[in-house]
Amino acid sequence: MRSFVSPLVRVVRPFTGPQTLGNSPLFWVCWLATVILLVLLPVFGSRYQIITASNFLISAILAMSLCLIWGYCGILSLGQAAFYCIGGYAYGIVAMNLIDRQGNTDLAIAAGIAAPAAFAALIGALMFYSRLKGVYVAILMLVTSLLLGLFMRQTADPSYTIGAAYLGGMNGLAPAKASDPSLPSIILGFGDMTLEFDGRGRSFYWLVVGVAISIYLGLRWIVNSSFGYVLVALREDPERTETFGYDVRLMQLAAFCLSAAIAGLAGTLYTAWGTYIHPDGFSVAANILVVIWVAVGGRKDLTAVVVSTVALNWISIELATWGEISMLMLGFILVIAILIAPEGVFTGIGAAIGRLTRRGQSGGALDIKPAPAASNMMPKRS
Amino acid sequence: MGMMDIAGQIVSYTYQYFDNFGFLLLSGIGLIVIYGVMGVINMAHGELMMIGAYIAVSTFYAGVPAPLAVILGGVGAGLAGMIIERLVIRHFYNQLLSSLVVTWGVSLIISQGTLFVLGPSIMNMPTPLGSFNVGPFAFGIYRLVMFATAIGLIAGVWAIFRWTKLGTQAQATMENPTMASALGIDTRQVYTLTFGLGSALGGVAGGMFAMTATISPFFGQNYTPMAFITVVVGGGANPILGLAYAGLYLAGVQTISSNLVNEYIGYVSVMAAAFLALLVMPSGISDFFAQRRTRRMQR
Amino acid sequence: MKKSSRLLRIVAGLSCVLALMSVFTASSAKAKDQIILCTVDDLSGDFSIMSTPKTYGYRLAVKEINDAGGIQVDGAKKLIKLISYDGQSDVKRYQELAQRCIFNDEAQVVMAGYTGAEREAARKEVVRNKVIFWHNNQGEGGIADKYSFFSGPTPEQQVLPALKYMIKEMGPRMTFIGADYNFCRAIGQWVHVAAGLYGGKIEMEEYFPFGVSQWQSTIDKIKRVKPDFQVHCLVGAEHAQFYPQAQAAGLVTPMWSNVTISDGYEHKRFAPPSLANMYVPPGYIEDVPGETSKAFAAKIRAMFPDTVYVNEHAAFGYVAVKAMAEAWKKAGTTDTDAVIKALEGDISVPDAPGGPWTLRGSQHHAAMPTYLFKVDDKHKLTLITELGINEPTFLTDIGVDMTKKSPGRQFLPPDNQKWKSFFPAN
Repeated sequence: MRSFVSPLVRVVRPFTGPQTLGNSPLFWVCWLATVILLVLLPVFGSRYQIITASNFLISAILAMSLCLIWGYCGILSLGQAAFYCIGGYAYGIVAMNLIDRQGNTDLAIAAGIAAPAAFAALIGALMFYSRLKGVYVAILMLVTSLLLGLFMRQTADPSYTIGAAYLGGMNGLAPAKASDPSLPSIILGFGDMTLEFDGRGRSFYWLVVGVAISIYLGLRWIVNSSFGYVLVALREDPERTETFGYDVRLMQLAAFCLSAAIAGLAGTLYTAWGTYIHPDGFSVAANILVVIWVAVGGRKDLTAVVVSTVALNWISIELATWGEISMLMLGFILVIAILIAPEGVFTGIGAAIGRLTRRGQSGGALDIKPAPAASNMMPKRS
Repeated sequence: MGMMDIAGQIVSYTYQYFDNFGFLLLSGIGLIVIYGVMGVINMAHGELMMIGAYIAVSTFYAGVPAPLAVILGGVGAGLAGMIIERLVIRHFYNQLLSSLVVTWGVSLIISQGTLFVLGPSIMNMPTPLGSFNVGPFAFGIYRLVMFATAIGLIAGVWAIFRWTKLGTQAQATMENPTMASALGIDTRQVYTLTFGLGSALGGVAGGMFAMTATISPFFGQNYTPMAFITVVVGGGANPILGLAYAGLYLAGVQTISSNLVNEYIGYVSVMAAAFLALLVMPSGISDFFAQRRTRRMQR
Repeated sequence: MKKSSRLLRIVAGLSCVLALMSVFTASSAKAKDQIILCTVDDLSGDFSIMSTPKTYGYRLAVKEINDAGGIQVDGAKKLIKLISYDGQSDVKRYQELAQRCIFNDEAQVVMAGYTGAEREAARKEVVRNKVIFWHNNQGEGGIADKYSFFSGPTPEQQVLPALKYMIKEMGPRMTFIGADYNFCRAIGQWVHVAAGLYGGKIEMEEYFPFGVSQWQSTIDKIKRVKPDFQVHCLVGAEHAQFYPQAQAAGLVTPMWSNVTISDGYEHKRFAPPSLANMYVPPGYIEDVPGETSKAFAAKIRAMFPDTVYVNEHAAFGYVAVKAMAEAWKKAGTTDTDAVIKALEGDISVPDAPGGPWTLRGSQHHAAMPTYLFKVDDKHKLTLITELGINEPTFLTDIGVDMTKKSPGRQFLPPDNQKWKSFFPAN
């Protein structure tokens, strides 16, 4: 067993640390098994399951972006859904305009990531350099999201076209004229070669799995690196971090922009998946939903967040088939989950599994103590 | 004729201002009491307003006169609030963000549960009191009554804070919960009663709005976002002053821009004004003034 | 390493695997001996007030068809299986549930949506996968797509004849206020067309975002203009607060509204007399006179005793299912292209609740009677005049014939060259 463990340990070392749950070889074996299952899903799953799985994984990417900024950096942003939508609209508009000329959506994807990041840089600079904290950042982001939604909803007039894209108001993005192309799926171009990923197909699903895994591993690496330590320090005590010489505002801004870029990427994938984007994503409910996914899972850990997002999405859709009591049940589930596990249901389970397996283990190469249960650091009164 | 026109126009602007101001005050009073004392953002506030509205309407159609029906609505909402507090909220004091999530769940349960049990809507109460004229303009009297009620409620809350035992205890608990309980104050009871008070205020507001709006299980959700924004802009340091300042400011922006441009810009400018206020005064208006006062005292 | 700990780890690992597998391999049984009709409507959330009666219409129609033995298709008599999903008043759900209808339930037809946003989210997904789609309440009209069909009244059947009457009876000067989104903007355009065709004059035209609930300044503006009648497209609970505020402010000019009452039966939910003097042009409401209307309302109430009011949605949901049944019968198969061909050959439902209804294949919209009602002080509805059976000619006038070629886009009044002069030059 040991000869298998040490090369595995060396490979995963950058991705492990006290900031994330799941640092043992057992975890990584389970993780690998899950990834293999995910990749093999198209083999034994139905078309509907593949499409839905793509959707859920895209939501998981969005949830991971909030996990970064809230769980690790301590800044609750009630505007992640806004970045998601900005990314989606950016992708859609650029893609519809350039697809005929370019033949691929490379630039559109870049736009989908860059636009929300730029927007975040602007808003973030305003907020963090004004020393805004806690619930006020949350409200400001919510107000921003509402303002954007307000604007996008009233773009029904046919004059709201950007090139070949008609903003469409509440009916969503659409081609400006009948001769204009409709929203394309992801088409990656390398030189003369193009690869198309139709949202309803296996290739798109595998693309999403690939992106999700990359983001997951990438974020794990970041939060377990020295930058990650600074972020957590920011979360726990910003004043003290500043006394150590770190530029708190710049770090917050950086994390904020990164999380906006990830949310934008998720939005881009979503728009390509359904070839449709509409302004409802700017509403209060859409933003709170992301918070719920992350809070129920356990905002301080990436794995927990991914699991809870997929689980909650799956439950929601299944409940929709139950008819009128669907949202009532969702409310109950939410309240019970938070009451039982205020720190997060899946972080709780993860910690429990950790304790269980540690009892038997005589000492492994990755025997690091589980993440300290940091107290709920709320802005103090006074 | 010209003088009456001008007088009428001035009255119209003033009326609109107090109308908007009253709307923000009524929606926000319950929420800010809870936020100020307990550090909890109650996303189910709209549902408590809805409970107040439903009780007010049901008792009204059972023969109770409207003012009493509204008060009963408040009492009912207050009781409901205390039950919610005991069951759910008590685990989340001063945890702003977790309380936001759990109260969102509670709001889903209450609104969807009401839809399931009572159906999609019920008849609202007729708007009483008619109108008065100034020149070519006519104004509904009731909206002024709503404004007066809002002021009355604020005065009532101020009186409670100033002169009752609960009020003093609540202020102490706001300042320093650990110290307060070390001095023998039952902070848990203070919290329960405060939440009940905030809910009752919401219920009264709901009953008042029930005379001008259609009532459905989702009726409260129309008021929650603006109430939320007003409360946060106001700040929790001094709930009453905070609410008043925020209301004065936001209603002013809304009235001016709706009349200068159009209603859409009016609505947008309220949001933009909230945005600006938060940038300039990052912890809310009342916190800003409280800090200035302490800084001045330190000089 | 101890044996028990190794065993524990293996068990833990296996249970991860099994849990995941069970989630992914869950599938539902498909019945090939039934015709699958899949619907997505708001059964919870804000819009359930309007949309729940539509489900009643679907269920009544399916029951009647199945009780009569079903439909003869593909060599056998098949019953209709109705799968109803709750859209939760959430646009994202509509797209997801439409996918479920198509890929999981393998539906032959999908009917979805109340608001335009919900409709488009579902429609785009359904049409992308080449399945027949129906939208069954009043809409802005003009959608010309091969797979999309519409059973409800269009603006040319409500706005045009009703405003013609109002202009003639009350005078040409009108004001327009509406919610700022696609549907009401389109209605605004149709109002311009009506004004142009029948000699009306729009003195004021304003749009408001959904959250606006304080109407004093607007009421003042309307009073200053002193119109002969007002045109409204106010949608949502905050907008509806216009009415009691207007009452209290003494604004008594007659009002005309497309959406009020036909969708949300506000006359049952607002205390009188706030809606007094309102005129509405539904394709169907419970108050429509006639035996078929009364019988339909009675059947709905018998099956669903909690019904507050039988609105337009209930009627056109019912009609859409009946129309599809006719089409399947005519085509003799559920094959999509054959059914579309059958639909495009004009389908009739002569005993529709609101009066004889005929789908015009070249338009994918239907000809049906509409009615003009007035609300009195006690919120009772009186029929003022029957607006007659109006043909949907908007698309033909622009030169669209769905039986020959479907453009796959939405057309709005400015697309009709003859009406260009009715719109203010921007």
